[in-house]
Amino acid sequence: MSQRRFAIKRDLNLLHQRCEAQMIMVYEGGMFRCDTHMVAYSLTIQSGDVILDVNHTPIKINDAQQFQQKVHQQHHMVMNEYAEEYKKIVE
Amino acid sequence: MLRSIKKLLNDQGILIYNFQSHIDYSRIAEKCVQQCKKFLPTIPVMTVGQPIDGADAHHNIDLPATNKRVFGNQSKIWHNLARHMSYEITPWQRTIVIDSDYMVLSNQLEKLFASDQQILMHREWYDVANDTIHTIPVGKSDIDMLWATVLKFDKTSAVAEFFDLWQKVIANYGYYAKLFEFSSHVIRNDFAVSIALKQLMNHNSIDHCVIPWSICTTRDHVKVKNIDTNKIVLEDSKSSFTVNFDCHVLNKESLCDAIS
Repeated sequence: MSQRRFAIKRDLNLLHQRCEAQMIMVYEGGMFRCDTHMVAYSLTIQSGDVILDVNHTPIKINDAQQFQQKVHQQHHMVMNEYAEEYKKIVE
Repeated sequence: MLRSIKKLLNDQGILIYNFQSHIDYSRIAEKCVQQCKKFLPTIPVMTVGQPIDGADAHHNIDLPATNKRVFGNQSKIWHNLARHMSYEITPWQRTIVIDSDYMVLSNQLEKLFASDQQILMHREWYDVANDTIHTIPVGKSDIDMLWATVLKFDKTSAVAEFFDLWQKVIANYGYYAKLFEFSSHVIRNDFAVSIALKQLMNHNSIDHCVIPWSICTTRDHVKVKNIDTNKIVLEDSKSSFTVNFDCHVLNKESLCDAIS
């Protein structure tokens, strides 16, 4: 593998790792990973539902709409950053 | 009423220990404080041991019991045996203790402050140079090692018991070294906290105390080439590369050189 290809691969791996960590969001004291699964799952949650966070702690979602918004915001923020950084690395 | 007033006064903070050894740890700790202030500006920082410019508060303690660690290929004195006193030292209800060689390059630690888990530590570590994620067993036991590098805790009776157990494990380190078949030559806080937490949970799962992202760590052979406020430039035998998220640097000599 050429030096440049190796450097690109390494930088992309580091970017991926950073974004994985940034996907975590805290809501009502619970930690949630705002990945594609959570984005879809959040749409099924009703206000008053109890869901498990990443540490298997039950968290009551008092305002489902607010929770959905936060999950989507976090997901899109990380994805946008990923896209920007990705572009810089491969250019 | 008093409780909520305390909350408003920012009842959370970061503790950083600083004791001199053959490495100029004060220089590293000063950089660590600067990074915390840059990325977590609303969180107060307290240094313990020798004072550091830029910290909001300082707690003076005598040099802790000496320990030894191999740096490069030489065994040197290492003052790492005071962290189990953090529960008594911290003035805050919610505290994160970080190693001074943990370089904060994001506001990710804010998530730990926002979490209601009483104890949180890393279990998985991400090898920055090789893009692999590992866990380390405590000796030959089935206990996974937790990293004492970043420890979030609340002041509760359960956490007080955890710190009590931690002190007892350190006091009886030789016994646990034999029991779990690891070296007793160097006292590792990582092993001590892992055993203490397992005991606190009656040897049940400690999954709920694990920080849900890996601690990014550089191995000893990875050198710090350059460091500024927003990034660390690292170098190994293959290439140099840049890290711009929180990173635990094991090669302290090169970190110290890069800061100066």
